[in-house]
Amino acid sequence: MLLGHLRDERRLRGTKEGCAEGDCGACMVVIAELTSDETSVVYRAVNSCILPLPAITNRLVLTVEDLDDGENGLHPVQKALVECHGSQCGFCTPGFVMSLYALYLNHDVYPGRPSVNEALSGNLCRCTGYLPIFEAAERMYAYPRCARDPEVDAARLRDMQQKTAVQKPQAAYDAAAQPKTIAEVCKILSKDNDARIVAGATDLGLEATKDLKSWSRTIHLDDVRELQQITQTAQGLSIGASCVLSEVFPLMAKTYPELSDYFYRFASLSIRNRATLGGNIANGSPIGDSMPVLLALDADLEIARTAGRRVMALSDFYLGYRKLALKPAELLTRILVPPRPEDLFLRAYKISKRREDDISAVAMVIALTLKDGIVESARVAFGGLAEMPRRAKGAETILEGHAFGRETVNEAVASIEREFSPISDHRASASYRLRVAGNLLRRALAEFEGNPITQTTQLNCEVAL
Amino acid sequence: MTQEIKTTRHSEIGKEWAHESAHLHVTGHAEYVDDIPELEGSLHAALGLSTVARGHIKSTDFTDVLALDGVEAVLTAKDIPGENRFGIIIDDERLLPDSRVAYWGQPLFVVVAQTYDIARRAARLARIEYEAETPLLAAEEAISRSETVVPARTARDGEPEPAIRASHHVISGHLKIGGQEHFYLEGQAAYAIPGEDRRMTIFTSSQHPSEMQAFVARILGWPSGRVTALCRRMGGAFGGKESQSYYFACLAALGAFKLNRPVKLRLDRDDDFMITGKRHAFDIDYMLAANKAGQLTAAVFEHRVSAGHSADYSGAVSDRAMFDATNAYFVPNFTCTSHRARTNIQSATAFRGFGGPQGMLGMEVAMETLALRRGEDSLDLRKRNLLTHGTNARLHYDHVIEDNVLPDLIETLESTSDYRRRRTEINAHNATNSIIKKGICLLPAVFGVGFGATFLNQAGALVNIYADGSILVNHGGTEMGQGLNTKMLQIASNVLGVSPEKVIASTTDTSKVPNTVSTAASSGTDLNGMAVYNAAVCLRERLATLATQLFGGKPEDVIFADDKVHSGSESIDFPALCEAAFFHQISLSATGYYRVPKVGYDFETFKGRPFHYYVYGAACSEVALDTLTGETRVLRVDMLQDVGKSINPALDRGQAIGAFVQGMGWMTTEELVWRDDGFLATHAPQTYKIPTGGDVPEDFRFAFFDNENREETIYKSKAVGEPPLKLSLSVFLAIWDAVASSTGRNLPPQLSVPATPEAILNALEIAERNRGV
Repeated sequence: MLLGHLRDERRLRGTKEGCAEGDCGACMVVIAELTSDETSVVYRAVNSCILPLPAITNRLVLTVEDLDDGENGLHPVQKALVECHGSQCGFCTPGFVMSLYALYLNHDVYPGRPSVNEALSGNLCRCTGYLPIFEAAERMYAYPRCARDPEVDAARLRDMQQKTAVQKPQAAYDAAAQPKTIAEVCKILSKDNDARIVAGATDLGLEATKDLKSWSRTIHLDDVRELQQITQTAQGLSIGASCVLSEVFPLMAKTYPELSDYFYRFASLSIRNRATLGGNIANGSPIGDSMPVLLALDADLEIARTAGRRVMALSDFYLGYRKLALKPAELLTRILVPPRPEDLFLRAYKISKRREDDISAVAMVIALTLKDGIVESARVAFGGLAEMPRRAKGAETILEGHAFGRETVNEAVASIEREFSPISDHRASASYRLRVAGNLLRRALAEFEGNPITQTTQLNCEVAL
Repeated sequence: MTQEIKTTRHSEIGKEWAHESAHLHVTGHAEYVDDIPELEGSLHAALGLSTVARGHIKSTDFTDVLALDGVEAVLTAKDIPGENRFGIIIDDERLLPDSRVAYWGQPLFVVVAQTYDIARRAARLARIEYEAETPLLAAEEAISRSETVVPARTARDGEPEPAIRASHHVISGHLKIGGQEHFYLEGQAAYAIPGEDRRMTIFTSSQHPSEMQAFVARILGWPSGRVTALCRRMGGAFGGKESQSYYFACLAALGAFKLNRPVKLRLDRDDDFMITGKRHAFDIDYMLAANKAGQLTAAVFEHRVSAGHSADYSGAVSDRAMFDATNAYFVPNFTCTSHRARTNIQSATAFRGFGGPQGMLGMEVAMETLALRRGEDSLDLRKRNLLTHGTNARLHYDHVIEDNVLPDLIETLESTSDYRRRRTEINAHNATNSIIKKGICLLPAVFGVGFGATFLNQAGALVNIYADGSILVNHGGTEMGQGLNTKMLQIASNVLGVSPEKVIASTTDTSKVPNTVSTAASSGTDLNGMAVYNAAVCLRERLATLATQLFGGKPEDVIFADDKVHSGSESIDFPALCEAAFFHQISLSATGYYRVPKVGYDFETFKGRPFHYYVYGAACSEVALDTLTGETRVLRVDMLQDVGKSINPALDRGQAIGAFVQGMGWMTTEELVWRDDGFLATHAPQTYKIPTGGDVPEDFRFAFFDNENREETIYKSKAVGEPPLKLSLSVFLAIWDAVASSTGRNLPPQLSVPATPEAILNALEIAERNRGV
């Protein structure tokens, strides 16, 4: 992982290991990379503890040591943290510096507390109570601006790309392969179907750092540009499987603003900066938060193999616990979200112990299309209730053909209790999951009926995305 | 004792110096144990952990471990040349077990290898066979089987039983309080370097370097003088690196001794969770009685404490919970029995508050319950029973507090937090909203400062002035983020009248200041500050005498200010005077020592003066609760904190707010879950959720309560590390209030700590069931 490389090979020990699983942010670095069309540069804070080294090929890695140039003194981010007393034990501080640095590079003026919350959602501090850090996030804009020139970085990145293209022709069967096209990926897969596909590695990385797993061959998708493009047409959204969530979600939220809060609660910004939509789907976790959304929106998947492509409904993709309808040597390439129907009532809820960067106990997305007050089609999709993300088809059938009201909702809730038998674990008990699943349907009804206060966040600040 | 130095015009006290390492923190240059450049030939250690919670080791097979390329050695109990029995107060632990396994995660052996990665991989290749037994996980069960780490204790004051019988109101109930993982961001770490002629140097991330030194000497069978323990800073500690860092210091040293090469041992986060102890979980039965007017007449508590597999600090933690069991209220009749159960989990240890918050919470839940019963606002009940003055400021351990400011403090917060108006608004909100309910709580907290074990209230310092006028400040305390070093520099700078850049913080080093106590019990500044002060005053006197020799005047009239020394009609730059001192053969190095006066109590009867003085505070928290999901959100916090006369308000504010948020996590999201087989299921931040920035309300209003310490503490300041944590209990009680409001305010909610969404939904459901709805 990049963190070990920085600390042990480069002897850059400002970047810290706090958890080695992408949950504390002490290892935060900023990656500068070209956009998929290669015209401009994006700066993203990411967790270096679970970032595979191949992922930094042709990217600039900025660490806390890069801010302190020794000549001009402290960078505004650093100066603000010192002046606001934003560090106590100091161990998490380099990580906060880097998350704030990414925020600073991405916003010319102070973007407000919700954006700061989001920028710091992947950073834990156990000493300060965060208030001085929030103060610093505002204070850093009070000093003369000291940002990087994206043009210069873009030029440098293009230059790096050209040089590596000349220096290092891709060997198709490297232990860590870095193919450039879908065809190349499929070709490697057809030769070695056990090769492990690595996208964002935000989950896979833990298999390395915690289970100490290693793979004989990995295929890194970071350079497959085809998988990183999003197109919006009359047919809807077509999202490349390795588009990162921090890119996908804001775009989807433009069409579906009802999803903003749900998207905000998906992991942390630094994880969303690496985690890919395709990775979340192909991981097959029953508590992956993208799937309830995509199931409710009737998304399809495009799957490639050496001999062509096929499209299937996401609702047919899961066969059991982490069991996918992917055949040998197939690669998930695109996620296809149909256009927004008219008269759509859409709600997405995630329940977890902590609001930011936590794993769902239960997630529910409901999508109803209505005609003359009658539910034409209903989609109710859950995470955390079964061995895989799943629609509550019984409940859907009950809701369809009726007005969305208390009576049908009560029936649907009863159906959910029959349709699912969730597990108990450290996140929640089975009975809690079931009760909450039903209550979330009731919450949706309350919102449908116009109850103005149905969530605690409505009494507080708005979230930004 | 701070003698008034009238001749100092200069004052650094009360200034908001930035943390002495802030510029290093933000640039990544602050060095922690794992950042120290390794000496050539350094090796890395990893620990093999038990995979059963109770039983015996039947056999061990390390063939595969040793076969892994890069593994240098596997060390077990047999390899310890000196003592293997350990303990903090009672020697009931083994550094490495011979056979008996007491919890899942217990270190059984050490692998030393060429890299961290190899050591970790190898540690998993051992084949250990156990004779497993059913673990005891619940305190209640352990107590019923007489499995305790120390005997039960009872404190008693007055005649509670007849008082209860004569009382108009008697309420009782049960409260479950979970533990809390420290989650210091820097995991436990130690780096041991063997030296010539039986010497060992240990870089340790520990609040207690002297104990690390002593314990390393013990396992090696050496005199302590051959071992040096050093700690420049810790990446957080919160009590978790007080006793428990010894495993890692000793095991690194064992490796270094056996292989005669430097050995680093730093824990992966999961291992840290699995090995080290946490805040004590408490089960509390409470009974509270009051007369018709709502004046408390008696309180009875039974505490069942889950101590984990060994005693560690559990006796002292449980005692503190008993001392603090009536919080800030006058209760004429009292008894508390405390059981300390031996359970097959990590050995619960010191954690900011040290049992005090648990004791207090039992009382505060009882107060809410009583207020509910009486149908009155809980603030009215609290104010009516607040400790005041004279006999009404007597605590159950027979100590009358003399400088109580609580009545004033509570009045102030009630007004500045706009409590009454908000309570009315909350009632209106709750009457019209069926899904989202609100709750509020304003409560006081009082925290006695000082180590319970009286002899621990001592400290030493060594201040060196160099001939160029620079000053190196050494003391026995450790820096864990609280800003102790910064305050020590302020004190030295203030006494000697020099600017901040002249005073330099040093690594805590057992070869500089010996026989130190743990930096704990919020006492770091009180103890070490006075020791540094005494050392600095000693040097100042020597320099003043020299100045009068050079320029005339009387030593007591010499003024040290603004990097100059004025004597008679002349003045000299501070560095020049130091240089002159060297030429005049005057020592510029001095030690300082301090012991806390007045404290002492009878351990058997629980009577006397366990604490030097008290810190007061109050907070008001308002929350919103989602009755469909049990989710909560803190909407606003108002804190009012007494810190005496602050040496550094910026640092004290940071401590106070940080403690509050840390406690808020314990009260809400931080849930430790052990499986039935004793495996800790929440063993990493992925599953154990401490607060993020988004959990902190935007509307957070902090203020100091203007006060000064009546006791002779350093510059009349007060301790700040632990007291504000108690105020975070207001978050739990505000949730309690919201749950009560959701269910008609007729029954006390059965809410446990942490108030997770599930715990809250359960409480709501129980209440609904009991109402027959």
